[in-house]
Amino acid sequence: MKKPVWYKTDVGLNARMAITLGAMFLLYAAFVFFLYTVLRGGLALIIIIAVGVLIFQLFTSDKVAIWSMGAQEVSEQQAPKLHAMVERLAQQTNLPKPKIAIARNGAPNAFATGRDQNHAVICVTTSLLNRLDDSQLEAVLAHEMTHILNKDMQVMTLIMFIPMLAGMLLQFLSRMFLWGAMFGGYGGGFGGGRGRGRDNNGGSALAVLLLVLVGSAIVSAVSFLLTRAFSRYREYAADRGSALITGAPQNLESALMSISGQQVGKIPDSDLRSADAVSAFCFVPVSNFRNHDDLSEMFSTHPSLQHRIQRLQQIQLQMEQAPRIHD
Amino acid sequence: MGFFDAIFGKQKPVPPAKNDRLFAISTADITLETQEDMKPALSSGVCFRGVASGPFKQIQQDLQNLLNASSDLGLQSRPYEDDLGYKWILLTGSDFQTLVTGMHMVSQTLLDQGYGEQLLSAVFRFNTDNNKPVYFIYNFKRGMYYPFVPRPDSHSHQRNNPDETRLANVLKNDLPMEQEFDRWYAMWDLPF
Repeated sequence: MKKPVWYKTDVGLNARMAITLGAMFLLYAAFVFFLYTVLRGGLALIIIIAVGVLIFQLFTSDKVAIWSMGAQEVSEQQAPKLHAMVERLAQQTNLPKPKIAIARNGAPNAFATGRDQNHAVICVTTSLLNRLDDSQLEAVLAHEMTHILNKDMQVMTLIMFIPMLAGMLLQFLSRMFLWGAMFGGYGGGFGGGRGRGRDNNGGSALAVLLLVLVGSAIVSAVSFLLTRAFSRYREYAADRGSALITGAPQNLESALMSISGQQVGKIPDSDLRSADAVSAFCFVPVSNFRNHDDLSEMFSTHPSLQHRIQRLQQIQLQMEQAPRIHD
Repeated sequence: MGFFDAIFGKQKPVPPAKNDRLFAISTADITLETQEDMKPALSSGVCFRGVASGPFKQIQQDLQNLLNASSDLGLQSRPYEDDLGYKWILLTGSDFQTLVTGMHMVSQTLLDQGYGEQLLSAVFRFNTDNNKPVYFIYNFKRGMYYPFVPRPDSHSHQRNNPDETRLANVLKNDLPMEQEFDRWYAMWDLPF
């Protein structure tokens, strides 16, 4: 039987994902080992707290994302066309139909969230609905469906675990040292009469914490770049999914272009951290992606417009070839 | 879902079509006629997603030629595109077996040419004794049938769920019936 050329595995993209994941794994393993050697038993407590935060995040992700966007779930009566489109896409991808939410928002955007495929939500903003025509909107919805299909929410939450742990330690320890520096003078003065042995103990404990602080800072910085790179690769995968599902890569291309042609939104009111959490699953990043160069692309959750369009055009060329017989 | 799918994302976002159980409907019409007094309307349609490319246009043309050549078998066809941008091939047949064979031919041609992923559903219409439509929809992704009974004279898109569940029960030995009710997707405003 003939097979379509465009259904061949994107080896290059997979290799990049594998390399990034491998690097993350090495980094994370090294970090956990490092924490274990310096903290021993204390590590277990930290990990329990971090796992708790992680599970909480995953299970509340849909509500938090929707709440932070000010979105509301819409029924079939309220948005019949949107529901009909998503229903067809669900049928085609053999996924359960996700819930649909609409946010009143200045920026044309969409995102998918939810802890698993049975609790998935696709959220679109009113300005996205206003700005795109039906085929463009469908292409964006297909992009979000692919995020659900690829379990991106879960995968991203999982790979964010160690960076989150490092971030927690960094925040906690840097505050502690800040307070230590502020009140350190007093402490030293009062502590003058203490025994020598205790001083040494205090000194070595301080050194350990300083070591953990530096380690956490390094892991935070490196994992930031790695997770961002991984997020961009997932975006390419979602773009590819949209192209394959709709059978028309140019629909997503034109959606991307008509969104970016405009100034993306206004100065955001939302907290950077909450905006960032949502941004990883958005259709376009919350920050403006115009005038992207390679350096700024390194720091962003989404590939640049040019790169996304290039990839979509490659798929389009593959589609122009008739399916062939291959093993 | 495998380990590699989880890490890399699914390589095939659209699952391939299963059309082998499409033929199951060819015995169901007897049950419907004897038990429910329903007759096949002898009209049906295959719904699929187009590919915006030259080769796919060619396949559509070939398919149309093939169907035109089958007109002496009592098979009539016409292409159609719905509001959601999905393509259809609508068929009418001189008898039900011809219609089912024609539906299978359309899906098999797309499968053979490497466009199996594009197939969405096959829809058969039956008429009740007072000529109201009852549809049986075959989902190519799942290889399952389910009934779809739109309430007549309702412009608000309402389904007759009691009739649907009853018909699914009546035909459960004839048709591979979709077990998950939330996959019984409606197909409104069908042109046949």
